[in-house]
Amino acid sequence: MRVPQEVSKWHRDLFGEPFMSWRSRVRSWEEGKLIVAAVSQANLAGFCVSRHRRRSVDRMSEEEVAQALDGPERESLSPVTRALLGFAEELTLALETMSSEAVGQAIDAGASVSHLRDVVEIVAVTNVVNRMTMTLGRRPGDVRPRGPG
Amino acid sequence: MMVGKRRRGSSSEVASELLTHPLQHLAEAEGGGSSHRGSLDCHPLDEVVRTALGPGRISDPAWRTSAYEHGRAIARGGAAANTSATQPLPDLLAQLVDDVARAPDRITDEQFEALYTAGYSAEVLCELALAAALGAGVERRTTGMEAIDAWESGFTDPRGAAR
Repeated sequence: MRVPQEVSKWHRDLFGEPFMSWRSRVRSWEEGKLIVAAVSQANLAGFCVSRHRRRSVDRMSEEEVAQALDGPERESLSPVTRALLGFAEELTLALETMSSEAVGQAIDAGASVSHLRDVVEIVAVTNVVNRMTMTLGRRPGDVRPRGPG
Repeated sequence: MMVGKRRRGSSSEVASELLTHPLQHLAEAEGGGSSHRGSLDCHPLDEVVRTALGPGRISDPAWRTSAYEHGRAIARGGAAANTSATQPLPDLLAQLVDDVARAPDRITDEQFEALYTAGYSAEVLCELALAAALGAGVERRTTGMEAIDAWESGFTDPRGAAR
């Protein structure tokens, strides 16, 4: 382990109430778990992918989750879900190309402004957590520590 | 565990730096006038950043500020990513911060061993990693919300190009 467990616990004041408040307020809708998994996959954050893929399957079919995370075309997903995933991935991997046009494309596909704002929050939280879990060396199958992840 | 290297200014210097530098960006991002975002005082992200960069931590606040700003610059990409400096961070820490911001999957156990051998504590490494990670998250939130605001206003995108 790169960082002793007691340091992770020490970080509870950082990953305490404010962070959990931020995180919890953006994970309360159906596609949220799937978007967390997709962003984590884009970041190659295996620990987070494994956790949130499983949670996504609790809410969607196995096929839908597989399409979202592994299928190049995502053809079994609704246009809205495809648009939200694409928006989240662009915000994660190609921020320099993010524009009002990208927003317009997602809106045209049926996404709402409210959903897109939620996606932005999810992407921001997930990019922080992904980076911390990878820095700390968490891997799929690790027991979840208290703190990020 | 190795003892962390400490180098910090007075509490007033730290407070002054925090209130005028990294949080200013957040304030500017939050102050764009859209009611959905709320004020700087009410978004939980503000408190997270304030806690991570503020007093009461072990590492040098200037190091954390540098890590945070580098995380933002790398997220912005393009020229910002090419020119972002990690001064005053020492080389080993600068490399860790850059990896956290740019490609955290490349971070290795050996890299941590080298950092511990150089005398940096786990607490210091976590603080700097978190600062860089928060920069990555804050920049994405800011740009994403700006793009949505721009679409709603119907005029320009956040980079200034006409729709």
